[in-house]
Amino acid sequence: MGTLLAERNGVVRSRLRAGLALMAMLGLPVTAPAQEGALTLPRNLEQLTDRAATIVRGHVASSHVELHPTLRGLHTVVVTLTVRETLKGLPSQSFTFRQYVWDIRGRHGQTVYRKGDELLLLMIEPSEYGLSSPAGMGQGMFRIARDAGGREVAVNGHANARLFDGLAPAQSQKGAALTAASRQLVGTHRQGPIEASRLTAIIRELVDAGR
Amino acid sequence: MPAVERASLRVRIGRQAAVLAALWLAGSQALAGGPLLVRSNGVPFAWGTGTINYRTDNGPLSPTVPEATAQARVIAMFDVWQGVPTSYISFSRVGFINSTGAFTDGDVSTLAEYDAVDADCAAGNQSPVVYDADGSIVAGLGMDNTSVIGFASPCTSNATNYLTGLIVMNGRFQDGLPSPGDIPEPAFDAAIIHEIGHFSGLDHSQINVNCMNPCGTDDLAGVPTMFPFLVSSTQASLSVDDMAWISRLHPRTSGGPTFAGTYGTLSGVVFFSDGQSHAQFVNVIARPVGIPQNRTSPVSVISGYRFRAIHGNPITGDTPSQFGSTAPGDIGLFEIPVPAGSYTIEVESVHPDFTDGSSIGPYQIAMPGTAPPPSVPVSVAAGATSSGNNVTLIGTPPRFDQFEGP
Repeated sequence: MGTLLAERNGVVRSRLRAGLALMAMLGLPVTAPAQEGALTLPRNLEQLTDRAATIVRGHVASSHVELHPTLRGLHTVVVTLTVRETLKGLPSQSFTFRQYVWDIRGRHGQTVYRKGDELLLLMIEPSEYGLSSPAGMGQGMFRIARDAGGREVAVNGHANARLFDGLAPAQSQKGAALTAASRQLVGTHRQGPIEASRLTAIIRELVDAGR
Repeated sequence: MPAVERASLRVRIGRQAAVLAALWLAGSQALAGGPLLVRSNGVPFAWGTGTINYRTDNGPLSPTVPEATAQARVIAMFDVWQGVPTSYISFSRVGFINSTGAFTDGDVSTLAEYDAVDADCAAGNQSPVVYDADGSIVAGLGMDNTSVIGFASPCTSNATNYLTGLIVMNGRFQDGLPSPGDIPEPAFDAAIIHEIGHFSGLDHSQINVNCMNPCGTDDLAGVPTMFPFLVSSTQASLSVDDMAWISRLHPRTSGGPTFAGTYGTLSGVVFFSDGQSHAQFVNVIARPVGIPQNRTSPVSVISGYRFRAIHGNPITGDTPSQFGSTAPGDIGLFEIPVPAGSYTIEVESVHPDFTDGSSIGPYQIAMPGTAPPPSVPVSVAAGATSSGNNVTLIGTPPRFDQFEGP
């Protein structure tokens, strides 16, 4: 134990010194969460909306893992949503996409897409191989649920953290184009669930502002 | 070189690498606090006792980071994990990625080549570290290459051990170009160190979750590398939790400080208020007695981490998982590897915002009821198990099966 204690204390001291030095020197970028093992940079809602080719809200009707039809070494999950609302892209009653799966749990069928889940997805344009994923990975995938008060709320894989960073009217033309109600939310929200209808309203406004 | 000297050298190298990584990191992340995958008998998957051989891309990491530089950085990142003295886990770069199928030129630069390499990894033939020099592979995979820094996972296993793993590094963040902009090298490397934690079989862990908001330096020191979010540069080097779990999965038995000679185990069951029904998915934290160790050096696990998470129902997922135990006694069981000493045990809900890719443990369901106060101090000796440290939640529903719904 003595060896480990020395090692541990040394590591802790080193971490503290290093942390303080770096925070002072560089400032901390981050909350970079993982999506099934992928690390991503934080992206705000304007960036996610811009990056997305299709934005839909709906329920997962089916989800299964299979090999890519032509790139036979790649595991993929094929997900079909019954669409409740289309916020960007061509409206349709269902939306199907194919996403690459690298995580060993996903390769065995355990993915984040479960039948019946209600999701708001900001999906990037499929690649030439027909593969797509949410913009910013977990950042562009919101789960819809009811909170204790019965409201429908949305939360993404980053806990909605930094979702509205840089969207203040002084920082963003699209932010400036938001309605007063949306600007109020953008200005006050820091993290955590957002009422789904308010989030979709802001997304619509951002999409419209980009046209 | 005698084994003891080799181990000592390895520790020194690992420590230097860890400190170096931390100094470079401007806000990186962390390593693990529990197993990524558990066998049907409740035993976590791990790598075997032999050295894990990996192969690196023979192309540049980016137009400004040549292959030789990238290779040196990757070796240093693996060394961070290899430096844990009580774990046998070790890595060796054994060359460039082997040719396979459509991949023949040494530099994985097209999706067809990546496809071949991924398939070879899944076949258990090699563990590749891929440099995506311009982000085109990440883009071809349908991912946002202006956001995804990298990813990793074991590729395949036999009945007990991982056999191969895969790491992809997106060079767009190291190319010196304005869009999407570079991440400081230390931060980029720290991100990959976190990924190597996943490659090594570690899942996320939740300690000092208050650090999702600004927190003190002692609390930051306790945030594991495998915390789901990067909240501090301190996550660039391993926390006690990270070292405990990599050692628990890959325990050194000789040739240096052994796991059994260093760690004990605190175990118990988390119960609903009836004191009989097991509660799964509750975060359990063992905190050393004393200040600041209680904040800097905790170790955690999720109750029921051995137990199957997906049972084939709308709550947990339609397709029953083949992983995890189905023994009823494992549902609320927790086991925490801790350096010998005295600890209090506390429970909390997994943070409600840690979902999907940032999840802790096999699944997340909010902790029913409220947590009781931390336990009285419990002592455990090296090599010993202190069992029966049960925790009964307060004010839960009388009894229900959370998997079958209300």
